[in-house]
Amino acid sequence: MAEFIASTLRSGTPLALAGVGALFAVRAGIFHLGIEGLMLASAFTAVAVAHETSSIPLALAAALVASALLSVLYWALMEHLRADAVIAGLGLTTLCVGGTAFLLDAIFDQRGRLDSPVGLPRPVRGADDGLGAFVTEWSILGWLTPVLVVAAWIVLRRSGLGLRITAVGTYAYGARAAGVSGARTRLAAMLLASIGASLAGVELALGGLSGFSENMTAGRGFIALAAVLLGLSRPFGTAVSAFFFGAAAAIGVYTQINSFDALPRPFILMIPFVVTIVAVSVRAAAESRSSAAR
Amino acid sequence: MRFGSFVAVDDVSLRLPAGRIHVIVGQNGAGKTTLARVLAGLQTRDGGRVHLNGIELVDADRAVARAAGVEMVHQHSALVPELTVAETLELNRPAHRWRPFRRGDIERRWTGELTERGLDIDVARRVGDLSVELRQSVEIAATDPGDGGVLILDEPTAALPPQRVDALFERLREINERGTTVILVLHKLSEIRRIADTVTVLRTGRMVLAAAPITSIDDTELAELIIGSAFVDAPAASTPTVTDGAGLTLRTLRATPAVGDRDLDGVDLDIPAGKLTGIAGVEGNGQRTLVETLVGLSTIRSGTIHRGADEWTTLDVAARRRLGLRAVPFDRFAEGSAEDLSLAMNLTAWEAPRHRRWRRLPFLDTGAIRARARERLEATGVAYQELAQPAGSLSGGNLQRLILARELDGAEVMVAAQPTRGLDIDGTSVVWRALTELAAAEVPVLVVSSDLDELLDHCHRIAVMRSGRIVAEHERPFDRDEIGRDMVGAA
Amino acid sequence: MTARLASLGWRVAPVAIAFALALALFAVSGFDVGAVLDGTVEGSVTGRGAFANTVRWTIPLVLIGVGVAVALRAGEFNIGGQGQFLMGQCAAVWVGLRWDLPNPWAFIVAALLAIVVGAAWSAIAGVLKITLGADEVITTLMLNFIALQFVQWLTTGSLTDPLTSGDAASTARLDESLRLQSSGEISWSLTVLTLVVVAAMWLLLERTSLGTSTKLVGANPLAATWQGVAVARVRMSSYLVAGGLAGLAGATEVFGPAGRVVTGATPTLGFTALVVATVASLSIIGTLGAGLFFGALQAAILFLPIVTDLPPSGLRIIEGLVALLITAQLATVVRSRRARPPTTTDTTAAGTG
Repeated sequence: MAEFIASTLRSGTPLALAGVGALFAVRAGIFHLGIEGLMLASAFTAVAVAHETSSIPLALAAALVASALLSVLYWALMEHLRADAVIAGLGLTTLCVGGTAFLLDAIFDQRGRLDSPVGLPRPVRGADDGLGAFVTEWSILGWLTPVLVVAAWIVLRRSGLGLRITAVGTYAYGARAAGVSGARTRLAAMLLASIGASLAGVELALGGLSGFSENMTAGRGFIALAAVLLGLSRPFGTAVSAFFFGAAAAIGVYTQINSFDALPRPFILMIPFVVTIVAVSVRAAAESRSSAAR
Repeated sequence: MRFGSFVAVDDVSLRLPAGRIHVIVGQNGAGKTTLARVLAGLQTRDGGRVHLNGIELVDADRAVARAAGVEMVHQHSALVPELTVAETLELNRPAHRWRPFRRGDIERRWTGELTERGLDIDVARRVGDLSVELRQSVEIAATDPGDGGVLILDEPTAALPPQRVDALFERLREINERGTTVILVLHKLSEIRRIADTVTVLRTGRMVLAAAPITSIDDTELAELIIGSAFVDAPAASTPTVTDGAGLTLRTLRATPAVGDRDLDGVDLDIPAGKLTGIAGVEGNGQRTLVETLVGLSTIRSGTIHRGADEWTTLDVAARRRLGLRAVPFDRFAEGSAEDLSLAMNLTAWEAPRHRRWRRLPFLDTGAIRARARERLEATGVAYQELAQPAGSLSGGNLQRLILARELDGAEVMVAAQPTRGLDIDGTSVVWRALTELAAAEVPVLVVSSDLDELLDHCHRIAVMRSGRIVAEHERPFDRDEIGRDMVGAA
Repeated sequence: MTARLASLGWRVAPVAIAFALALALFAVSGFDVGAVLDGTVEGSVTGRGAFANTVRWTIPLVLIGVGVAVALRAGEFNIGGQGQFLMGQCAAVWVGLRWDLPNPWAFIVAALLAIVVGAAWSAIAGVLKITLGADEVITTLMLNFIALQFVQWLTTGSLTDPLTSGDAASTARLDESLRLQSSGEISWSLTVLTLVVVAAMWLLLERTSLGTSTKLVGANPLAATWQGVAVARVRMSSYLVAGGLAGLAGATEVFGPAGRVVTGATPTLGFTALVVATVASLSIIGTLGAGLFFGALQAAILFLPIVTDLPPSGLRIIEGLVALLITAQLATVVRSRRARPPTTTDTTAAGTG
């Protein structure tokens, strides 16, 4: 059981970080399919910098900058050249998948994988088994996740910026009439989203594995978006949904480790994706029912 | 203040003295809303300048206009429905741009502010759940033009019952007394007299009267200026052809719309063939649901719809259209057309003729589609360049003519929802002439309008809708005051 | 005519810019740009069997791309072409290996089954969207991942070629007699099939009432309901068409150039097809041209590692850049309901005057 909880937390943390980031974009009216790419770019940047400098703060800073720069590019294309959010988002993700693999080859002359000499600090040390084990395994970003969720809630629900983001995302004309700049508000939302995605990428690369491998995000950015939908575009809902998807992934890991033979391995690896589809559908059904009842 | 030239407003120069109540008046389509939005920094101008208290305002920058004290209350609420009243007021008049707030604090602050203005609104409610009137009150409260500022209101009386108009005007006078210049866009003579210090008349984008003191002009002159000399009289209601059968009969109809608006709560209504039946009522009393129910878009919970002896209750939209039902929807952009598709597509495509030579194959006859499209565009006088141009390139009035042309074709039952909203005199008369001719051809015609006067002018019968029911039916000759009382439920 | 040329120019622009940016990146990274350019031309047009390779990749891209165009025209962001293609491959390879049929029956049965399976895979997302309102972008993406695992199971399970594993895990090869194409030559049967499909889809979209209903539903679903169009049915058929065509592409791949199913062989074909459809501005005929271009790019990029040391990820960079740069001003008319950047006219709130 402790093992399962540990595994859930480990799988859920990047999803929660990315999800809470994506939340800002979704609230501002942008279905941000580039989250996956931003995660991957951040993971690569962090590992590359850690590889060269062995410094976690530098790695983190570089990842945040890379993610922010790509977000500004995505924002500018949508804002000024009216690119489509979905297609450009997929383009951004593809660019990052290709770009990280390419740079891995071009800079480090590596195919497939780059190790980092350092990993994220784990603030709690000590117990090695039972419930203590997962506490010790949790990285600093894992411990920070609840704080960040609360911070996201404050920004979204209890600050002027949050009101502006909601206004721009739900009724653009109303926002404009109130003197709110749509472009600037969306930029702020995209930058906040880039922070979440970036931390998620760093956690993924330096939290447990300490290394970058090609396409290591493997759809987690998309699942994080699903967590936003499932969580009704609310910070706590998104975080809870993210850990729910984390649990689905943990079941896969668990059955794999415990040589569970009833299902072939590929079917076990499908679990998080199937759960995502079911969850998004159930959520949508419940939502349409409640709006019909009103 | 001075204006330059605009898209829909051409070469208007106007000086409005501060601290007064100015009314801008004109027919629908005269450019009033455009002018108001340009002033508020919400719409780009092609040229010209706007000065406030000697300071020039930057083009199309709402934030700049706001900072200078130009506030605007929109005809259709510009409030974000998702936010609560307190959040809305905080969005519009923030205490701090970035610093987080406590919910209790802003609710207390705004409850206080609203109470001071004599408003009793629960600030924790979502704006989307408020009535039209409350929403307008919140929208006014969300503005803070202050001393030396300007408050622009675009058709603020359109959605209000007559009784509430007085309360609104009173509030505007109070705001004016605190040193705010008020600019009102109106189109009813009776209202203008009650509130205006000066009046400005726009006609098809040009100014024909500039900020004249209201006392200097009488009603007849004003009406002439508004309407212009090219006034084409729309056909007044002729004697109805009396027929039996073939009309629509609605019995104790209860229905829930797909989205928005209120339920129908037991509607009994006859829409006889050969007569124009008007539906009067304050907006939001179920008129939209009534139209959607007739078209086949809402869920009917009980009751029946018959056309003559045929029951229509369970038929879907397509089946009703095959039986000759046609409808002019409320919103010509959202419901009536597809802006990206060509005129030809918008006119005929989805009820298009099959190819003649290969009748058995499911292929369309594009030649016939184009020919019919041209014919229809001419029938209602749509101004266009080519059939391939997107519908979005037409002006609102032309688009409405296109929709009318499409819906007139094969009409055996007509339901027209706000068919003249936003049309100029010419367009309005085209619509009424077409509907009157339809009725003369023994087609049952139902017209929903929030403009009681045009119903009085053209309809043979007027049914009044309130709270999801038909509360009264009137035949010619109409008693305007009685209908007005029925609309608001006054004894 | 000049207007048409200009619009063609605008469509080519994002591709050209993306290409230039990618080449700049290659140059900065120390690759020989001249060799890359030579290799690109040699690998797609001038080299031995190069053009055949271009056509070989054009066929699945056009088939999937046309389906994507139909779906986007109906306003459905069905981005599950990849998964539908993979499931079509699975169906086709199963028929080819397990049903003891000779050609042409083997291919006909396989193609039909692949169409049905691809359409069914797409229909999952369609049904969930139309009946429950589940966001199709998420569900189709997830179905892509699930299909990939399914392929992995098939290529390591009962139909496996035991000598392969991992990303290279593959099924056994189809018997040579069933193949419609061997590498290095153009398959005329598959080329004709593709052209027939394109023509049929053009007729469907431009000359039938289902086609015009599809466009109306995509342009304004609310107006379509007021006109009595069965919106749900039209949307559903767009899912079936898109899925069926992607499934068919799977069958042509298995019976054509590939001859088997390899797990990691074409990880981004579905995405490239989406780019093809959008570069073509969702025009069915335009998809042919765009498909040919990206087919050539695919052929070239697979050839480049032979003559230069450029890694294959270079292709993805170009594709990603193209997708990023396809903007409303440059090319497409795609309208996402999800994100509407600010418009100058706002009809919902504008009122009239």
